[in-house]
Amino acid sequence: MSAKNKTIEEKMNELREMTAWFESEEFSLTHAAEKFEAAAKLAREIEHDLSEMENTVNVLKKSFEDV
Amino acid sequence: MENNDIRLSVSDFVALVNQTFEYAMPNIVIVGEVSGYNVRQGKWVRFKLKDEQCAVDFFGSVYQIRTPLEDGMVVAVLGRPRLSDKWGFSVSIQSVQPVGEGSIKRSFDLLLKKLETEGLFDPARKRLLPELPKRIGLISSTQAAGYTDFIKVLNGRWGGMEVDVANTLVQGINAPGQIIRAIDYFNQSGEPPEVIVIVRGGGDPDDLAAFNDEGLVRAIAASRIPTLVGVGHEIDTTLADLVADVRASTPSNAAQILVPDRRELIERSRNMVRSIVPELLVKLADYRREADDLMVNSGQMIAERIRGFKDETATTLKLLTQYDPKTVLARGYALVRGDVDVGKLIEIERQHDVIEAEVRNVSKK
Repeated sequence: MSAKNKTIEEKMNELREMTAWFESEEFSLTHAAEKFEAAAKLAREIEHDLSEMENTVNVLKKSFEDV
Repeated sequence: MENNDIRLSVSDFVALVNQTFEYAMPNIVIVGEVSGYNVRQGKWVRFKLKDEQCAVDFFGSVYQIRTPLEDGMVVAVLGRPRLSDKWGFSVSIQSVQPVGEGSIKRSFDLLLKKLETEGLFDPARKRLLPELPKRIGLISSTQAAGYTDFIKVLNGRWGGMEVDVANTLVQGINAPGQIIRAIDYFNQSGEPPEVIVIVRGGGDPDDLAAFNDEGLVRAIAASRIPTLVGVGHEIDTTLADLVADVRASTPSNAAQILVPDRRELIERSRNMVRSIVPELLVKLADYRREADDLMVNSGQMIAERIRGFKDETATTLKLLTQYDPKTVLARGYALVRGDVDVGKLIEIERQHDVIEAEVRNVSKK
């Protein structure tokens, strides 16, 4: 479904499109269950990605004192 | 004179005094009231610092004085005592900061007016911050509460970023120079951050005075990298705040401005999926209604067709009845069979009888 290397924004956009499908002309009852499952999976993935990501804080060794 | 007295030339004496000063007082901050302030040739600054008992000469260049001065202001001067071969004793100025609420306010107002005239605070100069920065250049003191607040809120809200921290002083006379060097460092870096964030927690006006330093304000304005400044509490305003591309009220607020809250995003993505359910129910109800309507319509169509067939059959039957010879006989007509030639016998059938008759005459009509 969505590759691991996609950014959060890309995944959010994908989820937005998936949700929009349910209101679009393309909606078909036959594919509704499958699409819903995919959207739920993607939302779980976004939640996981967001919760897992951490910052790297690197205090520079350089001194800014006047020389 | 004794034999062990030191005998020196004037020049050597000046050199020795200066060496002694340098050794004894490499960096010294002197606080006092400015008097006799004057600038020569737009370059050389002289004034006295005085208190109730004493007054001392100070000398420096305008480049070292990055805060507007005037007589009566109380300032702290970082300087080196020096005996000049020509001008006698004075303190060489390295930097100056106003001290006390009144002087800070006065200096702030003077500099604000000056920089405002130059258009440094013009809203048109303000740049947008990157939407989701991957690399942040943070300038603060790692010992300061403001630094801890910023990192804590930043980590809570968003992740996956690289934060390079330039650990500098954030108060005192040496702070502006260090912060300026950190701004330059990030601007000249091979892999520059997408945004420079300068934070410092709350403090009294003396603590925040570093952020009203003209050199620092100009360095923030000149930064090629967009800047976000969060200094002090909500009520504090420094010139560094005003010149930054984006101003945050506190260090925590700087983190809030910089990145979205992942919890909000998680909630938003959950809501997106949740919103499908009512949409789906509406769609299903539509389908059901359509199916029901179709059923009702087909029922009606079938009934109509049956009625149509019935009517048609009745009409046909009626018509057929009209053509039935029996009906014709019942209406009084007769059916003649046989050859209609004179002398021949013919059969005449009426409703209730059949008559045999002889043809007597046949005449054309």
